[in-house]
Amino acid sequence: MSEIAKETYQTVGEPLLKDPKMHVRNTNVFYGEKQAIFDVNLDIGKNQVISMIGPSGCGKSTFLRCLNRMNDTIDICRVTGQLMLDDLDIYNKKIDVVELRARVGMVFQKPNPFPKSIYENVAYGARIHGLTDNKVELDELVEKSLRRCGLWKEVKERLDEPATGLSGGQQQRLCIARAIAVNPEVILMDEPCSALDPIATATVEELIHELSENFTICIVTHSMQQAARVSQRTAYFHLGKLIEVNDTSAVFTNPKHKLTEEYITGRIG
Amino acid sequence: MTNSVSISEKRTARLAKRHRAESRFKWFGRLSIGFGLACVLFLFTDIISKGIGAFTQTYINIEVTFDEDKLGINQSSSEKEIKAASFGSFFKKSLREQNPDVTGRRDKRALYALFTSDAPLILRDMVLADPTILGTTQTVSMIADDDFDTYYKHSYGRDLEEGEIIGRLSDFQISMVEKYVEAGVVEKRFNTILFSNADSREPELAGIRGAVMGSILTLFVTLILSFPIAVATAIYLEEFAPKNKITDFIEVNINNLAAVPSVIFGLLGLAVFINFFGMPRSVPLVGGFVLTLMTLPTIIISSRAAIKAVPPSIRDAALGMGASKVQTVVHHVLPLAMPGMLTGTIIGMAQALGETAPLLMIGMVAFIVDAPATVTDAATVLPVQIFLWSDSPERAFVEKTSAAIMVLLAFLIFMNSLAVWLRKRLERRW
Repeated sequence: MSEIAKETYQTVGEPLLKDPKMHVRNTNVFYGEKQAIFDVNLDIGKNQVISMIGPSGCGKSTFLRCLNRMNDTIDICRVTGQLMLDDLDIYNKKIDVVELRARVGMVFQKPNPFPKSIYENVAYGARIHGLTDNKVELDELVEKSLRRCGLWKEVKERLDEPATGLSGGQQQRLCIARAIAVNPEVILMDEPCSALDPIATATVEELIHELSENFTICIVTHSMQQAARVSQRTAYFHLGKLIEVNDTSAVFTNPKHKLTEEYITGRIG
Repeated sequence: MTNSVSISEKRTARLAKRHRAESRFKWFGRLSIGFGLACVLFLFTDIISKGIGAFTQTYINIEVTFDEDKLGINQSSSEKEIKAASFGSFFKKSLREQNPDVTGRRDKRALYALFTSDAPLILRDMVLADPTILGTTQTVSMIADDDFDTYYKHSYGRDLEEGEIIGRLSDFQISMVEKYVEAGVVEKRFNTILFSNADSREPELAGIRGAVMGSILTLFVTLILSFPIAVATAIYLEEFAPKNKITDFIEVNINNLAAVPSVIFGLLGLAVFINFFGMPRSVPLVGGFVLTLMTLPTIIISSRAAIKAVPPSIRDAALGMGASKVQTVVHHVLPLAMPGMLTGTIIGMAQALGETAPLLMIGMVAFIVDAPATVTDAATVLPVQIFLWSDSPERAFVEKTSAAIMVLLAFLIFMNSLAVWLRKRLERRW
């Protein structure tokens, strides 16, 4: 334990980038007395997909939820350090989380559509942020968002039906459509495919790939294959520490750190 | 080999034992339900058999000649003059003329007593409604006195058992009843008085309208106060309040309040609303305040449970979209929690409907002959009416009591079915 701490105080690989979309410096996260994230430094590149991998409980989801302050909902959670979205200090007391979350959208592990109609699900963000002025614009936005997620053909006949009646994969793509409808800059995805079957997973991965042209995407995943398939960079977390960050191909073919190597070769995790 | 055989035997023996335990448990459950149903059945048969009589009322059709001279009024008399006319002695005179064989003060009085004491008022109202009947002879369906009514409904034409008490009618009165019945002028009709009149000292004139109105007004006040307050409390405690010692303390106290005897809320209402704030006694407004105090914990607890049952993933989804806390609650949590909240509210209301003790404390036990029209009119409520009637000596009030219980039960069954229906209906949406 202490050996790991000494060894990994400095993240190996290339955690920092030129001109990043988000940058995270000296970030620690505490749940009450317990520290969950130790001194993480990481840059997230613009219009790139970065995946976070690591064994269960390593803090990758906690880290992800720091990026749009979803950890605020947990009373005992405390975040220190500097997290920036462009020039915006995410943890500045003065900023409005509503605005932040409109810029940094999120897709969750389990598909969680609202128990409303398919249309209402996609329109919700636009409604609360006042993005459209009339019904026509809203209809267009809904159609555009659904098209980008490849869901339009499947649901255009039944936009008024409950979203909960869709299949798991469709629900997850609907959640992605809902997230992109407000045109965020960054999309956080917390194991978006872990509740889906392989075919639905392939569809969602394809979608992530397409979305990365316009959005910065951070994806937490348990599947190393998925990380390898969808992301340009990969960050490996272990027991709350960011062990190694590098280009995905470099991490998987030539891991620099012993722990990373053990994880990707299946010896731990 | 032997070993494995013995193990499978053991397992079989075990299985039989387990099956026995299961069927024992099932039967125990069935017996419990059977016992419960038997109790309910007994209660219902008892109440219905006792109370069914109250839904009919005996009327005596008598001929009344509205003689202008005897009344001292004519068709051109003003309303005031008609009201001042002596219908009491007129009615008695008519009865004496119809029964010339009744002589002697006591018999005459016994004859008058067969009719409701409101008979003169009924005749007066007829004249007031239509003065042209003056000078004509009309057949009037006169309400029979409760003693007549009870005797006719329960004892007349039946072989009486030795020593059976048949009410307060004297032998002379019984002979008069028989005379009327033989003349074919006595009839039983559906008792509309029960639903159109408020309380009265005379059982044949007593109805539950006042109590029902009082209950409705009281529950109305209770509902419009307790539902918003309880829902706001539940939402704040569940969604906004920090989890600390103060909120823990509040939670313990709310749970405690739910278990406080209702009579204490009555005393509190008496001390605070009536003595301190000087509100009037016996009014539905104060009754509603007191019942609000009493139902708040019930609704808060069920609303909190309903909010807790909303999956956190829905909140995450809304917050992740950039909805504010309030938007999350109003757009997503509340609609999903609403069926549970409404169920809790209706159960709380049903409880409040059946509540008696706290209302006794604030004076809603008064004898009130007018049905209340507003929340500041003196009133009583159904369960208190039942309590009052059950205490009355007249035999007719026994069946009125049961009838009022039947009405109260009907209300309760209606409200509880509404709760079930509402929940099914709202939950079915998605």
